[in-house]
Amino acid sequence: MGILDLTFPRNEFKGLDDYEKIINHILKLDVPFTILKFNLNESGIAVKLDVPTEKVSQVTQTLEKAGIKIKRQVIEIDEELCIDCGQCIALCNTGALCFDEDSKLKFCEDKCVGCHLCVDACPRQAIKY
Amino acid sequence: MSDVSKTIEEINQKINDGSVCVVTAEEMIKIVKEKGKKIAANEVDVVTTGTFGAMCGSGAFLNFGHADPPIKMEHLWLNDVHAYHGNAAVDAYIGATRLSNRESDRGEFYGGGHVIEDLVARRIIHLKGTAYATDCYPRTYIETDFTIEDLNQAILCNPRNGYQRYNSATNSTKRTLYTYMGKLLPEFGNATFSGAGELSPLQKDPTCRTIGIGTRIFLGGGTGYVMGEGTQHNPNNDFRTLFLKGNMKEMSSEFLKGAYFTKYGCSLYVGFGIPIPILDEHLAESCARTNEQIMTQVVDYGVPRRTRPKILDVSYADLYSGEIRINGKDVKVSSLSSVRKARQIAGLLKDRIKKGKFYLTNPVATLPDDTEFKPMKVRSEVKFVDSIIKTAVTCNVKDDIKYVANLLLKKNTNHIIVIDEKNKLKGFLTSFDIARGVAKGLNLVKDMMMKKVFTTSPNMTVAEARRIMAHKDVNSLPVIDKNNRVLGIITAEDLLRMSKH
Ligand code: SF4
Ligand code: SF4
Repeated sequence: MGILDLTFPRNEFKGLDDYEKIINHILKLDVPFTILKFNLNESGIAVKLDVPTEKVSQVTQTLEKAGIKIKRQVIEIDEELCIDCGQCIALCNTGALCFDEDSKLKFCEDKCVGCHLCVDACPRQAIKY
Repeated sequence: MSDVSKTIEEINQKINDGSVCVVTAEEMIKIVKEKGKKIAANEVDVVTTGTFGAMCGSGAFLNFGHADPPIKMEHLWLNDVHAYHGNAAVDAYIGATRLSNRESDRGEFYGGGHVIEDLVARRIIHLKGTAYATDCYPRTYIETDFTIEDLNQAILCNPRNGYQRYNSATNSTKRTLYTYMGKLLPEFGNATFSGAGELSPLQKDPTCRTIGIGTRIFLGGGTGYVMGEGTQHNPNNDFRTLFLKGNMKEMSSEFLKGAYFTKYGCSLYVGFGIPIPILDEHLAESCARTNEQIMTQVVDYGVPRRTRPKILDVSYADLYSGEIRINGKDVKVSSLSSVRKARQIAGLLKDRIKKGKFYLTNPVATLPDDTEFKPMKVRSEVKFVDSIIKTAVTCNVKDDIKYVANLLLKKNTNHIIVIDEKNKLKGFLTSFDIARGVAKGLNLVKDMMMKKVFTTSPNMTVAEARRIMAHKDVNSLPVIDKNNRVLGIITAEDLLRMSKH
C-alpha cells in the first residue's frame, strides 16, 4: 500500500462541490482506495489516502494537476549501507533512482513520489522513509 | 613480430623488478581495440578482474580456542544465528544464509552473512553454546563475547563462487515475486541479473587455462586461494564455478557485506578478483571480451520449476542499458551485483601487483573439465497439478438458474466454473450458491456466482494447491493458464484419493 497525504488548499477548494470533483477525478482512474483520515485544518481539507503501491505515481500526477498539494513520503538512502548494486533502480517508475557516471547510486528527491516500491527490493535495507 | 609466449615466472620477475604492465579488464578492452591482440599480448602482462555479488554459498570456519573447563559445543549461536557444529570441539561453520532466531531482537533482517560482515568489521560478537558433558569436555553451557582478533582462525570458505554466467530473471505472473534474484514485479514489471559482465573473472579466462587449484586471488579485501572447482561446476555447459578460501583476519567489511532479500532470506555479498596472466594472444583476446559479446538468457521465475522457461537471449550490454524488450514492451532491468565495487576490486588488485605486493601463481592442478551438474534425485516424485486436472463443468455468465440447476444434476457435480465466450474465468458456483440464489429469487448466474475465485495453474505442485484449499477453506480450484483461460478443475476429493494410494 502507498499512503498519500493530501491537502486541498483552503482558498482553492471552497465548497463540497470542489471536493466532490476531486474524488471523481480519482474514481475515474479506476484505482481502489481507502480514505484513512479526513479533517479540516488551517491549511485546508486534509485527507489521507491508501492506494495500491503501483498506482501511487498515477494518482499523484492526476491530483497534482488538479491543484491538490501532496506531501510525499520521499525515501532516503543510507549511504553507509548502500553497496551501489542498483537493484532499486528498475523498480522506480519515475526515474528518481539512477546511476551516476561512476556507477554510484544517485537519488533525485524531487522526482520521488513516495510510492515505496523500491523499499523492500534493497538487500541492504538502505532505503528509509 | 613472433608469437607471444610468456610464463608466470617471467611475469613474476617483472613484478619483482617493477617493469610489469598490469591493466584492468576494462582497460584491456580499449587496448586490444586500439592496437590489436598481438601487440596487446606483447605489452600487457596481467589483466585484473573483479566481481561483487550475493554469494549464498558463502560461509566461514571459526576456531574459538578452549575454555576452562573445556566444552565440546553441540549447539552454538553467534549473535543469535545458529552455526554448524558437527566437527571438532571448538570449530564451527557459520553459513551466510542462516537466519537469526525468530525471537532474536536483531530482527528478521539479520543472518549469517551479517555475522561474517560484523566479524571482519571487528565488531563484538556474542557467543552462546550448549553441550552434553563428557569426561574430557565437562562443561555444558557457555556464553561470552569476542572479536575476530580473539579467534585462532577465521577462514572464509565459499564452496561455490564466481559463477561463469547466471540467468537474468523476470516474472510473468500476476503477483509480485520475492526471490533470491530480488523483487520481481508482476507481468514483466522488471527484470534483474547478476554478474559483472566484462569485469567477471571467469568471462576473461573462460576455459580456466590459468585458473586452477592454488591460484592466488583477491578475496574480500585480503588474499585468497582457489581450492578447486566449486559445487555444480559444469564445464560442458560453460557453467564453471570456483571453491574459494581466504583468511578473514586480512579482509575488510568493505568487500564482505551481509544482505537480506525480502521474503527470501540472508546472503553475503562477496568481492573477489582474479589476475589473468597474458601468456599469449588467445588470453589477450578472451580478456578483451566486451559486454556485447557476453550472453545470458532471461528466464521466467513465475514458473516455480527446476527448468524455468527461457524468454529471450540478451547480452550484458543489453542488460546494462537498463531496459530490455519483452513481448514488445520495454522492461526495466537492474543488476544485483555492484559494477562500481567490481571496478574498484580490479583497480585495487592492479595496484597490489604493480607495487609488488601480489605475485601470480601457477595452478597446482587444473580444474576438472568433465563434471556435470545433475538434478536432485527425489524418491517420492513431486506431483504437479497438471497430472490430476479434470475437465470442468462450465457455464456462461449469461446463463440462467434453470440451466445451471439442471447442469448440476445432470453432471452430478457440486462445482460449476463460470466463463465468458473466450473461455476466461468469470466466477464460480457451488450448489450452495445456487440454492441461495433460489431462496433470494435471483435468476441470472452473474448475480449468484462468487466473483473472487481462488485458482491454481498446471505448474503448481499438488502440495501447494492443497495448501491453498486448506487455507482458503475451499473444496476445489479452477485450473487456469496465464491468460485466465480455464483449463479444468481439481477437487479436494481427487487429492484425498491420491494420498490414499
Ligand atoms: S525512489 Fe522509491 S519511493 Fe521514490 S518514486 Fe522511486 S520507487 Fe517510489
Ligand atoms: S538496492 Fe539498496 S544497496 Fe542497492 S543501490 Fe539501491 S539503495 Fe543501494
